[in-house]
Amino acid sequence: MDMRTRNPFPADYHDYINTDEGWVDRRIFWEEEIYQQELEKIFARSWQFIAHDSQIPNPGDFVTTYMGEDGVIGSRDKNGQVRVFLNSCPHRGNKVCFADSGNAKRFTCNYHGWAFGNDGSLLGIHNEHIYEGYINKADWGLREARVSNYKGLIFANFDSEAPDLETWLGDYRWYLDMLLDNEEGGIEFLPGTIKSYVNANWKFGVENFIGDSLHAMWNHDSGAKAMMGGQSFPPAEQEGSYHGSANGHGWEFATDSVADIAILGQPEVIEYYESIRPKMRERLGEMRAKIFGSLASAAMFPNISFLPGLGTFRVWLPRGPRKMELRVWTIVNKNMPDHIKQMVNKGTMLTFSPGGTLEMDDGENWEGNTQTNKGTLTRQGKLHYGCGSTSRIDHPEIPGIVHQGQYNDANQLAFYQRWADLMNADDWDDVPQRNEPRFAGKPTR
Amino acid sequence: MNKPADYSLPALPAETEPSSDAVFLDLQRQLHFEARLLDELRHREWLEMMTDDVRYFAPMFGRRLRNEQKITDRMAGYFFNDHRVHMEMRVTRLDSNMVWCEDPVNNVRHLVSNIEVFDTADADEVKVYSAVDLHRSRLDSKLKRLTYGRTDIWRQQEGRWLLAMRCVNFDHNATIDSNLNLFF
Ligand code: FES
Ligand SMILES: [Fe+2]
Repeated sequence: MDMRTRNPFPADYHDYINTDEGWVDRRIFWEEEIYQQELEKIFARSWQFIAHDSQIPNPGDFVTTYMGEDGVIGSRDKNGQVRVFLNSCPHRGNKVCFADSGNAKRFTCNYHGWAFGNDGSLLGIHNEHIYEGYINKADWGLREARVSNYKGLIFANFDSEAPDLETWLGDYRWYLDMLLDNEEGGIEFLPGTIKSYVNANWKFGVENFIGDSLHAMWNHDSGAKAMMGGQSFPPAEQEGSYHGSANGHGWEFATDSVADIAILGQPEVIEYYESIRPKMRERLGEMRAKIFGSLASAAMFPNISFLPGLGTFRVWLPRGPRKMELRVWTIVNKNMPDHIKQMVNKGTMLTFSPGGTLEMDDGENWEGNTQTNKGTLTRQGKLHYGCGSTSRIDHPEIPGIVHQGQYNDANQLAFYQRWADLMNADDWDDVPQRNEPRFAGKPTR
Repeated sequence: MNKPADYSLPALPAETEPSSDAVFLDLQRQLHFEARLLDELRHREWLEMMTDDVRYFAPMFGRRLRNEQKITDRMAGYFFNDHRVHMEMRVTRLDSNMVWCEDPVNNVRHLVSNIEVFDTADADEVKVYSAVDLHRSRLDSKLKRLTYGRTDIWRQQEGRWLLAMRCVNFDHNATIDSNLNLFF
């Protein structure tokens, strides 16, 4: 037998990745068994994105989405609290809400007419007198998740043992503030959700945004030239650019350009951000004010990604190991004038919708990355993740695990390390802390 | 362009009477010819079919309950909302020979039907409805099929019919393909 044939499923998930040698086992992008473990060990235990406050501002407003393969409803109850519960009726299991979003006081199941409040409680049953003496309605509400909010982003988690959201985010809050808190008023989501299916493993989307600036220069060359009047991306510059990672979340960035904002192709948007930059400096400090708007991309464990400044925000919802559903929104600063918001929206749709000049190049690659692994021999191979393996540095200002140079595999490996940490751990005490947090218990702004 | 008002989706003018048979035949011929230009990747010739002030857009509607109206927000989402410059940009990109995912060429076929042609208050403009069944054979040799409705405004200008507005309504709540690297 070929030496590379390995035991089909190692018990230790760290055997699928090697941060020293810089490789990842292809099977994590293909195997059903591994995927089932991801649903249990990652998606049933992680804080996941449900909505932004601006998408469900009023009592009764709701959205439906997924946490792993579990359908959920996120709804604002009559007291203004956001509640998140499984979108499945405890009678025979049907979905209780088939709409993407809307406003509802109750969700009534189509099958037998059990009705649930927007707090998830079982309010009533059609012909309820039949049930007299047979049910205690208080016991039969929709299963509810923990909900927590960071500067407008609403997260939910079904694991009562999981660390709180602030601990989960850890020092990544220092980074996240550049997106959510770069100006008074914070951000808002514009209306409209773009959904598309990509026949690729969900992790390929995440790792692309968490650290893969390398692909942009080659893969997006046609799009960049078309958007920027024939100009290519600037040459790859490792000086003054970084990979930063905390708790598996990552941000790759430069510190001195306006690349991401420029890609929008809307000069007035650049002017807007330049006009608020002095205030941003006061708000977030010199370093973060320099980072904002540079060539950058970011992702949060397990499945959120965004481009700060460019305004695209998305989740990669797993649909089996070989398929994902991509949901995309445009985010803007709340205090922007309307016409600037509209320009950002136009720019993000022109670049990062399924019809976008940049997005269109990506999906095809991720499908190829995934589907080739159908081959038995192909699947036995490793993938190279060794770029920048000796570039780790300590930085006085930048927190987390920091690597010099944004053309790097460091954040991707840190993401897979976090993935393996959670896949292995039966309880939270077994999950190692990979970086000493600088901001534990402290605000990052 | 670049005036703020241009960034919202334009409103389609209302129809008045069904057009004459002669106009109907003209437009039917035009739509079929247009489809062939797109299938043969003759994008530059296709662009010549557009007016200078053409608007090409695809609004987005979430799946909402019947008793809730479709969002009519001034900034309701869209997949794209192009002016002529943006269409030219897309063509430039497609013709750059550097769009890796279009090489080898993905075969496409636009099947256009359900054509209806109506007059409008503007004597030079007609409103044209059509339905398109778009087949696309991808790199992975899998066949993808998209269907959508279109509402167009065609304008008669110096003896030619030019496309002044096209609203594309996709029939899918989620895009079933990893990209929309083509024209509709
Ligand atoms: S399955 Fe929901 S009411 Fe019976
Ligand atoms: Fe990309």
